[in-house]
Amino acid sequence: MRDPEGFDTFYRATRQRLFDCLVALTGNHAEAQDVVHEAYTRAWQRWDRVGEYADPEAWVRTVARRVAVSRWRRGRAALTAYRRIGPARPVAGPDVESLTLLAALGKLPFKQREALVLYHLLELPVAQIAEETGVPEGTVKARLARGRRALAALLDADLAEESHV
Amino acid sequence: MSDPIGTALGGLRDQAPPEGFTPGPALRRRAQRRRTRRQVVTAGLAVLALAGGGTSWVANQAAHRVPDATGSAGPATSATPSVGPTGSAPAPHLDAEMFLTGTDLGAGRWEISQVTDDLGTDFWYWQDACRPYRRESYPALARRAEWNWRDFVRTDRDGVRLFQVIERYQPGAGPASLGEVRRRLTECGGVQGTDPVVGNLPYRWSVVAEHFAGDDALLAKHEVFPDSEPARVYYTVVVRVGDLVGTLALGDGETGAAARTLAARMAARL
Repeated sequence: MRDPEGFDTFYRATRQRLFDCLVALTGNHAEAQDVVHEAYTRAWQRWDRVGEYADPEAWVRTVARRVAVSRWRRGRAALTAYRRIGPARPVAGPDVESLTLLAALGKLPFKQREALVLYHLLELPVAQIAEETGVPEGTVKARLARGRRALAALLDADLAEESHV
Repeated sequence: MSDPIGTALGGLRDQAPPEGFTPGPALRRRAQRRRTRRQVVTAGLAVLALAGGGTSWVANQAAHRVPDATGSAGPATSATPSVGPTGSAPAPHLDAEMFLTGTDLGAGRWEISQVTDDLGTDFWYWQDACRPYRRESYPALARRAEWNWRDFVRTDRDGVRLFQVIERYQPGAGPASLGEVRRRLTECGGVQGTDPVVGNLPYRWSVVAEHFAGDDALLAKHEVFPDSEPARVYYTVVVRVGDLVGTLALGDGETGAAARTLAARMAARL
């Protein structure tokens, strides 16, 4: 038996984190919003099972990342979002620094971007990132290290150390 | 010691979604509508299979199975060319040269992408034109043999995007397909909107020109009415050559005249 109130509470409590994650992954707020809604729609469709998981947020996050990585979905979602709200324009929230950062993230290979976002933005431990992305922890660390170096170069940031992973 | 990368990424927290989050009850209704639609399609497949006349279509639909809703976006299986109802030889696959190129699109640098994952059985460009969409109301889709798409992003002008779909129908079904697009646009006429799935802005579709390219063509105008802003206008052009149907959605600022020009180029490539 699905629990609408439980789902709504879960949705309200977790959607902002997922949205932030998707913005960083896709670089597009409208597209991120569409993907978030899609992921939670799928969650509700099987909420009797997903709602029983120890970490349903991880399930929704995995679905959302897979939806986002699908270029077909991205293309179509972007088209829909573009039509609905027009081309990207200043809205409350993203400042110049954020837009610069999103642009830089967008230049990284997706796997590196994904690792950086899950680690630094969502503050997931390396072990959990490894589990969610289906790769060994060493691979996650390598992606983080490469991604950090690449992002630092793009942002002209001074990476004083490599000890954050 | 501060970590500039971590600090920078942390600055991306708590951003505002452009339209606000859809309320939970609306999301649940959306899931319910999707479930209902799937049940209808499943029932239709069962009827066709029982009737014995839809065998090839059932097989074709199985090849285009919608990815598992757990989110797996596995590699797509492209449709096997279907044998026509009279048993005629399969038509050739869609050719990459049928699609527009950056040169066709004119000035600017264009990035073209095409990845055939997550196509979905139900995809039809017009399915989101207005609600409700009921697949069984558009029988030509059952005779669609294959389809493919291209996404064009202009890299020297931020945000300009075009989107092209080409569908190949079984022999003789192309005209019916365009007829169904016309019917869809008619039923979606008048101001629609406020469904959170489509967007919370009112919008309107209308056919503004017909029969100007290929064997048949139509130019559809999509107007979106934001609050306290002028209406935004987008054009989509559809061209049919035989049983091939090309659809091109143009981006912001493109005119109906530009759509007609591109329609002629599409027709030449089909």
